[in-house]
Amino acid sequence: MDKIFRLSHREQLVVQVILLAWATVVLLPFGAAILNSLKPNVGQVFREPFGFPDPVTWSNYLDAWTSANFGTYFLNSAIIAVSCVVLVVFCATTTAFVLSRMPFRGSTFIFMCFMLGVIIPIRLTLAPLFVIVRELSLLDSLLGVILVQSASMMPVSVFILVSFMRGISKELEEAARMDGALPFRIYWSIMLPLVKPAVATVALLTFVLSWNEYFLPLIFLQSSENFPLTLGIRQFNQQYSVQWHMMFAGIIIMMVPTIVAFLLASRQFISGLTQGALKE
Amino acid sequence: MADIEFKKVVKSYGDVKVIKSLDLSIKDKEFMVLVGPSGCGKSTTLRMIAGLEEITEGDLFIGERRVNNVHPKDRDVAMVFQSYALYPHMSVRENIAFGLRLRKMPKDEIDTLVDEAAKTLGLTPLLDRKPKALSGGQRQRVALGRAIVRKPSVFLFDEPLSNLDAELRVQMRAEIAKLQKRLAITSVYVTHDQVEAMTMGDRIAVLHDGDLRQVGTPLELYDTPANLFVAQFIGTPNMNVAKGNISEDGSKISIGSIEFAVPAKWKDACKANAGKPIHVGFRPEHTLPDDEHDWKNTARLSGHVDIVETLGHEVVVYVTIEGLDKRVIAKADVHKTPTPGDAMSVDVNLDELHLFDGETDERLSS
Repeated sequence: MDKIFRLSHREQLVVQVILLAWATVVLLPFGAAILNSLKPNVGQVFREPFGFPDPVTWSNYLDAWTSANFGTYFLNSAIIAVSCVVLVVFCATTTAFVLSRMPFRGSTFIFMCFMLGVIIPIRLTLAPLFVIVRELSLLDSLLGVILVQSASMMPVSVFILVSFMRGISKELEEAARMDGALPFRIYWSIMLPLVKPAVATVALLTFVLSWNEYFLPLIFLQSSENFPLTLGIRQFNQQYSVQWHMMFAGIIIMMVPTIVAFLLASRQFISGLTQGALKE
Repeated sequence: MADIEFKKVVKSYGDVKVIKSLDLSIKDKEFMVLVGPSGCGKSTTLRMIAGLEEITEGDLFIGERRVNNVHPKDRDVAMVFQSYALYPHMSVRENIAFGLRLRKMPKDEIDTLVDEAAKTLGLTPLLDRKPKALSGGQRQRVALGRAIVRKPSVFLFDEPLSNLDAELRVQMRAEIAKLQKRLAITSVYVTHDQVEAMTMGDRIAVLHDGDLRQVGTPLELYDTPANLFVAQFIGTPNMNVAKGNISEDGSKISIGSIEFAVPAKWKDACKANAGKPIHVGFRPEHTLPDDEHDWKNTARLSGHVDIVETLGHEVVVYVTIEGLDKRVIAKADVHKTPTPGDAMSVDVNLDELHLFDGETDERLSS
């Protein structure tokens, strides 16, 4: 094992304390949100913000879901996030395949444009984007948000996938060509399964970011029936501004899908982050 | 019929010509080995047959068909790669069946063919394993299975044994040669290992710097190398080569201060090249200590021993020759192994000399 991993007991202790402190910083608000979401009234939230709920009130979730139109918001968020995942995974994997495995005159330039997209925040390009979406008559529609959100995720996704695909032996692709595979078959049957960790990483990032996105829906959506959860929570806040126990229930509802998505994809996600660190 | 014919084939990358003008015929069912040092263009030649490299100029025929612009899948060619190139996410069965599936063959037919190929190569118990769970030799067999299952008209091998350990390499060498003979499929095998080339090929093509230097059976290349490069490339240890001259009357050859009469078989050639500089080549097995042979026509070289390599069945001795300022490689009896620093005289069998033009490096025509 490399020397960097051989820490003395004292060093290990320091590392553990730092990690523990970080975990506390992250988990404390989360734990508080769960506890408070189960409290029967706002008084208990203020009296004992970190105390256990008494009695445990599961009905807060049902109330938040039904009375504040959370079902619609949740569905809109799900439509946006899932559509973005499908769109980004398909477009980014095909783009990365062509850029990494079938280079052509100008492919480096296109890759550089994607790299610029990683650097430039999408908010800087909001004015022209707004005009484009308006011209396409996609303002105040989920499709408009889905397209803009997907486009904003493309550069980083292409970047991740190109790095992965470049790492795959050229001989595998050539073996497939000798076996009779045409480019789409090589992409579908060879490349895609081999970059599964990268695809999982891209899918997870896309899902979490589009689920949590507040700014783009705020700009492109006006009708509350099209609102995703992020905008719905704002509505909810206006409606139940003092009902903090209900707010917390709403927040937890909003967080659950991202946590589930992360748990489902975490194994692939971590192997995606560490892939290439070790020689096979 | 799957003979392969290169007609003035050129391969360039930009301004760099990696294959200069290749004319080569490979006969139907022949096992042709392409051999040469790294960067000589042997893999490029193989990849042009596979269709993985475009041909810049010239024509390539497989059978009667010109295949310059034919897609790899339509060439009826299978290739075994250096890294095996097995699909890591597929089982052995799926790896072997992949090419057949793409050809839309019925499933039961695919199963029959895969089972047959697996049986031939002893892979039946491994069919459900992933490549990760196989040893190097087993992976190599799967790569072979993937190639033979399609029953192609041409097999291509790109240094397939270079990742195996020495023992397995010898074993697989014999297996591949046996398989090729049994299936009777035209095969082209690329290697930089001349032992592989000598032991496996029906014929060998030696390439150097994008030029074909000689084509012939292993013995032809060994006994009558067409030029200095082939002479030194084929044979282990390397052939000894010394610069020399033919006397003005063409009757004698001198190497440094050593002079001897031209051997009978070279008389005409030396007459024709009288007075010219030449390279004189002699193989280590034709260079033995003065008391270990019964040759009639010899030249004696004296010097002292530099290095001794004991190989078990023989001893290779590096001797620095006085008056020649050159180290020659000789062989010696294992029971009379000299030690470094010893004075030693070796005799060269003049009937086994090789003479090459001093300027063109081509063999003198005898």
